[in-house]
Amino acid sequence: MSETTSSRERDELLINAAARQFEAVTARRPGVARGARDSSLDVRDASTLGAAPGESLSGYDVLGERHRGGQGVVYEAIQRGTKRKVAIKVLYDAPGPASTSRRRFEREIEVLSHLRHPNVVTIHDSGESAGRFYYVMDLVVGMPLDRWIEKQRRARIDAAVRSGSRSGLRDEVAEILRVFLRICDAVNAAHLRGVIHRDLKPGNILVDEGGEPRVLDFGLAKFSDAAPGEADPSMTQTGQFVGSLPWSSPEQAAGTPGEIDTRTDVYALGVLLYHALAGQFPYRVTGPLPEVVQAIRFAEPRRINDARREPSVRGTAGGVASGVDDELETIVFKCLQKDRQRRYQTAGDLGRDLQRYLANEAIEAKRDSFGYVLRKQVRRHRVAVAASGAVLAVIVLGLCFSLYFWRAAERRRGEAQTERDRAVAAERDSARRMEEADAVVKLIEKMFGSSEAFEFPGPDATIRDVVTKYADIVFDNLSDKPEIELRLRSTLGLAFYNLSDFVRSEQNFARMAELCRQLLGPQAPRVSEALNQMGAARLALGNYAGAEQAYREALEIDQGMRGDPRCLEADTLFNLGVVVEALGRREEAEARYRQAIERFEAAPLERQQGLFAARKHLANVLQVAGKWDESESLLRDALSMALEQFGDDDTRTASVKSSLACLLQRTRRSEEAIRLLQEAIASERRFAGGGPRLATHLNNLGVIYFELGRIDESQPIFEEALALQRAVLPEGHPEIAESLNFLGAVLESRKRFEESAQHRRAALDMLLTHFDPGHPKVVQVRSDLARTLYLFERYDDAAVLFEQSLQVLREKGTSGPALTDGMQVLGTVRIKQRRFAEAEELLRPALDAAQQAPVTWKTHHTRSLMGEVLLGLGRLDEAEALLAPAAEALRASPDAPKPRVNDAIERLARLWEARGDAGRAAAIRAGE
Amino acid sequence: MQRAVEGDTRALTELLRESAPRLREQLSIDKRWQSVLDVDDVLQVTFLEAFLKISSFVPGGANSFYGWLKRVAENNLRDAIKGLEAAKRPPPAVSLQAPAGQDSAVVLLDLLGYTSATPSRDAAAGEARSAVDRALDALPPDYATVIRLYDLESRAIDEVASAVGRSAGAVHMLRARAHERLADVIGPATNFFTRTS
Repeated sequence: MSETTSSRERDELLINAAARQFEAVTARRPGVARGARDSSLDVRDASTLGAAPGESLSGYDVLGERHRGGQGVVYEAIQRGTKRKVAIKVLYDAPGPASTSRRRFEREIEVLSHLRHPNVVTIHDSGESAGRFYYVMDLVVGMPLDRWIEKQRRARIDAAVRSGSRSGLRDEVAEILRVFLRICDAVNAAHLRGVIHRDLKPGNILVDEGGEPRVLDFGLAKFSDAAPGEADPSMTQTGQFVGSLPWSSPEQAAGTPGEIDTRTDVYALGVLLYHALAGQFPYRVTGPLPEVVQAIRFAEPRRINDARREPSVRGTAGGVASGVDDELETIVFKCLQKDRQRRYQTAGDLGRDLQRYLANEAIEAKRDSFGYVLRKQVRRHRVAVAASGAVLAVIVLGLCFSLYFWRAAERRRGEAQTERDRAVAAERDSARRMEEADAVVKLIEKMFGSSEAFEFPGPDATIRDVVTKYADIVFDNLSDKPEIELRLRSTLGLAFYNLSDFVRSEQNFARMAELCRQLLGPQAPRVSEALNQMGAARLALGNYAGAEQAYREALEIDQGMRGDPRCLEADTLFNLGVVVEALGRREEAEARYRQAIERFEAAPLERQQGLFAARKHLANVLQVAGKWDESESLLRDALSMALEQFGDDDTRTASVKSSLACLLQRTRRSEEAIRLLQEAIASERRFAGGGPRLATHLNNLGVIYFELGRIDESQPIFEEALALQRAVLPEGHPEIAESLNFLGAVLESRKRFEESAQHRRAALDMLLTHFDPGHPKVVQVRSDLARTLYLFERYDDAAVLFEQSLQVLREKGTSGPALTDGMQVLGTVRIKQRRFAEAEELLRPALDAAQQAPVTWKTHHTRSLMGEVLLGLGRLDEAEALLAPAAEALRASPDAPKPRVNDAIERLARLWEARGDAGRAAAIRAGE
Repeated sequence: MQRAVEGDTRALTELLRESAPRLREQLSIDKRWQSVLDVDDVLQVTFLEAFLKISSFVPGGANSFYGWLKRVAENNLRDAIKGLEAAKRPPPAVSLQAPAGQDSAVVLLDLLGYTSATPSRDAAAGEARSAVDRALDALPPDYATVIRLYDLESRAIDEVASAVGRSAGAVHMLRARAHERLADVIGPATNFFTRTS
């Protein structure tokens, strides 16, 4: 820049400054500005507000003037209604058309009057009098911050001199910071309401007798001289700034009001803190205006300890006696960054770092030194490091992520270097950086396991906090390293999955898929991998449609591959099977699982894990389809394989045990079922501590207890399962619906029908958001709800629901227990409705199916129901043929619920009554 | 020029822009004072005075505005140096420190020539203070601040300079102009202290 240009710029600056000074005068005294005398200066003109004590303003009695400043005059007054003392600030004449100014002012005051914070001077009222705006606020008896600090300092020095001990001096910094914490909190509270102060300085922060700071005049700087619609001119009015310029931010000094935001206040807080600690301003603020502006905009602040030693304006050595350490200085300097982006973004962030400093924790501002972070963490966790590997992992992980942060900071620091320097440095460092980044990635991958560990148990939640917190920071700095980002996304996706944070897991996998497409091409095998993983996360979230879409896409890629050495197709087939099973398409699921098993069996040994999972899932599907034997065979194989490969105490083994237990329960081997589930639960607790897998095992056990009539034992189990699910799954997740339904069953058994119906209705609604009305789960829950209503004797309501379920089942061509169970239940309702012919039609298939399955108490129950139907139809012989053996069998059955037994006996008794043999009926009722 | 005289601030700004480079070049500050007085200081006050006093300028030939402006600048420079020279001498006999029991506002008014009418200065102190305070409101902020700090609060020049972020020379200049302005604004003495017993 040439000297001529520079002079011209300075001239412009000076002319503009002069113009604004002139405008300030014009605004207040239009005539006077051009030389006329100001008649309002006549002493005896009492029309101006508060010219003397005793002057009254509507509702207030003015006692006297307290302070006169650049913006206006502050009076002390008494509010007549409440007799409390208030302060009234009268601004200098408002410029421009009165109506628009007033509206702006009133709007602003309205916002400010809602600003309630113990450290903010509250505004209570406002108005206009004699052409001037005024507002009424708390009266604060106190002194400006800088004077208070000075006073405290002198008192400490005096005490130290008297006692000969310097211990009091060391507390000085802490005391100052505690006051600043409150100030930051107050400013932050205002920021949250969209109010920027713009003029933070000691005069606007009064400290009362109790040492409490009170911040005043938020956001009102603009009303001192701004014309409506005009950019805040106080930024460039040198006169206005005479008191405020030293505290102003670079953007204010530059006269760019559009850049003023909350970070402007953060800067001012930095200056205040600097001044409090050093007794000086961060840079020279005396001298010609352009130089001062230049210093504010461009000069680096002096080191606080250096500034502290210089004599202050008042000729005494200011600053804290004990000096400040690196950390505190770092906090202050972060506020004073010229670039707003590099400051604390909010006063709350500043406050939090001050708190961390006071608590001797690692501060945010210093996070770009990983040695620092480690030292801080080790210091804090000294005992824990020795004792806990998990905590060590947190520290190491924090370290790794700090490395990234540090690298980013390095890069930013490098921005100031010359082109040449940068090029040289980059050349030298690029290889080293890649190595380091690689090492970090390897470390993270090692910590979270390899990509095959999909059913790997999740580590503890502490790591989740760290991972979540640092992930964003890491990725902000990876825009030019997609390969590293890809690997990290994959690892993080898995990590979050294992931590049951499926939302973040899906996000990371989705990004991974995108990166794979970009870097490797849309048909690359890794894209299929990523899609599979994304599908798994979606599945876990209950987004079945989304999961299916991902898997189908993956399958297309797999099937298009020339050769499949890693047998990815098997994975995809398996995954697709899982999702279509979840969608209720069991036959398709069975087919997919069988295909997957076939592929896995042909695959290399390391893929055998997939085989295990596929077999387990196929077994479940078969079980539900009533193919018990094949299912049991598969599960027992899977269990052997799991025990051999993973050991007894592994989540995968637990999973097989759980599935096998369900089958055993259905086939009346409850004891073995319970044992297996208890083992599974214990394993899962050890590994995961919680999570949806544990919830599933718990629900399975709860169901067994329930079916065995051990209701009291089942309820807490269902409740725990529900709590575990709610902790990690989104509300409305199908698994939560299932748990609610189970609890509904418990409530129903306790005859709390209304509550039961509520739970079941909630469960049904949740499921309907995920599945169509024909989904088996929906049907099941609908039936359950209907049954509850039935028990409530709301037979007609119940019947409607059962009919709906059945209708859906028939439309879908459903067969097997799902259908017959549903029919049976509707048939039961029809009996209550005395529509026996329909009941018979409904119960006949159920009866036939029951005869073919292994005989349980339910078989007898169904027979008993049919007997009742036949009884109702008057076909007594046929009825007797069913009722008598059913009652006897039920009575003899150890598993049969008592009510079912009693019902069967009652039906038999009614048969004999129908036959006219009351005596026999009575005997039957008596238990003979 | 005519538009500027009639109150068009844009016109005046334009004139100042045209004149500024030449004025800057021609202003020369003795080496002795260069550490406490800057050309920018002088220009700034000059420009402000231009805004305040343009109504009193009578346009003439093409160079008349520049000539007028230069005289204002020279006046400012002279007052600045006068103030700096005075500051270097031993404390003057007439001090602006308010004598014990006297209000600095009264002293200021004294200085400005409003002394003779009141029977009792003490009784008038409150009124004087109010009058001065209200008059200061009508001053450009720079002027008002210097008066408050220096004349009313009796701070040392260096302290005032530091507080306002200006050089000592600038403060002297500002004060001189501020006194003139204050006198203009307050008006004739008969408006005050006209009570009769």
